[in-house]
Amino acid sequence: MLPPLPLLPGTGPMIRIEDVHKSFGTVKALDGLSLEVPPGKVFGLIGPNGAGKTTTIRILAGLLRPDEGRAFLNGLGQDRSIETRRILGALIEQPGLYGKLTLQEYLTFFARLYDLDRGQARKRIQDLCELLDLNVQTRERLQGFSLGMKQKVALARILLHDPPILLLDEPTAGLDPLITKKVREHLLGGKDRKRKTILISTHNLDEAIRVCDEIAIIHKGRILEKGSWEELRERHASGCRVVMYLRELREDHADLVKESGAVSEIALDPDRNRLAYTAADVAETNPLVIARLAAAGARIVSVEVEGAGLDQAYSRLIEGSEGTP
Amino acid sequence: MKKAWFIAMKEWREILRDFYVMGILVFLPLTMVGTLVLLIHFYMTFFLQNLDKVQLMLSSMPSAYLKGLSGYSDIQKVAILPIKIVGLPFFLLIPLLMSGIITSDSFAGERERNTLEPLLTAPVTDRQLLLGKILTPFVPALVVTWASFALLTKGVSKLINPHFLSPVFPDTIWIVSVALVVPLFLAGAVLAEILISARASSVKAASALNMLLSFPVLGVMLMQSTGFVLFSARTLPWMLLSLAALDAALFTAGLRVLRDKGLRG
Repeated sequence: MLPPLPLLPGTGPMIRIEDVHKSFGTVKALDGLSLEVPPGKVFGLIGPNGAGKTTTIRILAGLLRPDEGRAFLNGLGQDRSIETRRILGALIEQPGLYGKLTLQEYLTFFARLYDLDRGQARKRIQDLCELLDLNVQTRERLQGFSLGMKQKVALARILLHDPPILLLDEPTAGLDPLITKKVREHLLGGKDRKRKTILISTHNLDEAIRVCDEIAIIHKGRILEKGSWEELRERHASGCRVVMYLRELREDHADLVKESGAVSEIALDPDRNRLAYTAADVAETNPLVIARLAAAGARIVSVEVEGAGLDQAYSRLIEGSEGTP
Repeated sequence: MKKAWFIAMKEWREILRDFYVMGILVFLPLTMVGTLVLLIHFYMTFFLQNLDKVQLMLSSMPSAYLKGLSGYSDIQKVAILPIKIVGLPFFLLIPLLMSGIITSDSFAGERERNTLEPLLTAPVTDRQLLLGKILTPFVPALVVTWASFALLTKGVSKLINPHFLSPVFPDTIWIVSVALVVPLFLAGAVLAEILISARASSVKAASALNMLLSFPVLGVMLMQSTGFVLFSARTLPWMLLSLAALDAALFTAGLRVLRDKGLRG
């Protein structure tokens, strides 16, 4: 059994940033950024490279000091106190492992730093290695691990003390789809789900849609927009891109789609039997399209809704802010 | 203190698995002590075979060297001189070089390999982190220095002590110096090296800056060789007190660097 969480989520925001400014020389990394994440929620930061995502996470982790403004974790000011470090698990950019240690040695070292006794450490390491498909018995040193394996080890490290707050900078980068799914299920599913508050930065819009309760689109150190992905799509996207694969694509399939309602940008790719269109309201349009195609004898292999409109909202917001100083 | 040990033990494990670092840690002191013993061997052999040169040698020496040696015969004076002139400062150089090899990698190396951030976000106090980083080079450098001293004692006492009625090497000054001055000096050197490593942009820069720390030791060696004897019953207590004060000041500075500016933006 692990020791109980040092601080259980209260009613106030677990993560809070108030009007934070940070510059590196003449480059403004954060420009009055504020955000709040309530207990048990997953908050996604999405934005292009250099938008300020990693700087935000590093300030919250206590690795950078803001020029102005403050960061709080469960109401405690981030001043690198032991209390804030105990409730935090931070995965920042690169895995950063001690290459000459084995997996067991590395995780045991951090488990001891996080005050787990030998028995607790052994059990926790075993469980996490099982979850992340790591061979805890391996004598191979970490320097020989692949990038994906290293990322898994870093993930195991930040979960060792079962922290109530997780800061994750591109957490699934380099992981294979199966492990990505497992990690997602572990972090976001199960009985402990509401015990954890997570701030996640990602380039992957699909991942943001899947895991985040709320999303902020960040650019040039400022939050351009935030809300659930449904809200963002409603506010900024005119439709979703739908991609269908059929057993055999025919020319007249485009007409059938057109007749189904508010669709635009229909594209056929006969070589791949691929049909794509943009729908203003997929929930309304897709059943009609599918019914019409099926009635005409088309055999549909798969239907995908790309980015669920978030990619469109994202592009519009980023492109719209390009002209601003 | 427990977490400082965890950090040090983790780093020792890494050092033990680094063939090149281990090679230097073993080879360098062995070579230095071996060279010193060989030099004393050739020196003693030369004067024992050329007794007519002993008087000439003693008359050309600065008078400070011969202070306190009036009760000895000429050949005994010749025998005792090399360990009095070069021996002790040499034992400050060994731990300085040993710790430098390990410490230049301390914070600068962690920063280069992106391993510092997990450590800085773990519940480890600045004091525990600094102590862990001090213990890492301090313990092996001290063990190597004391082992080198044991080797030197074995080699040199065989060459010198037979010329005396009772053993003259190692004397009290040597024993106190190696037992107390060396650890205090080493702690100061390690702290200075850690401060450099915490602020340096890379391991290469830290290694280059660490070389500057050998200048004070070379200065001590130079002073000793010109007849200004630093290690004596009169100077040792002052030396110990000064080193302890310097260590305390450097430790405080190290904590401030960790807390205020050195490692964070």
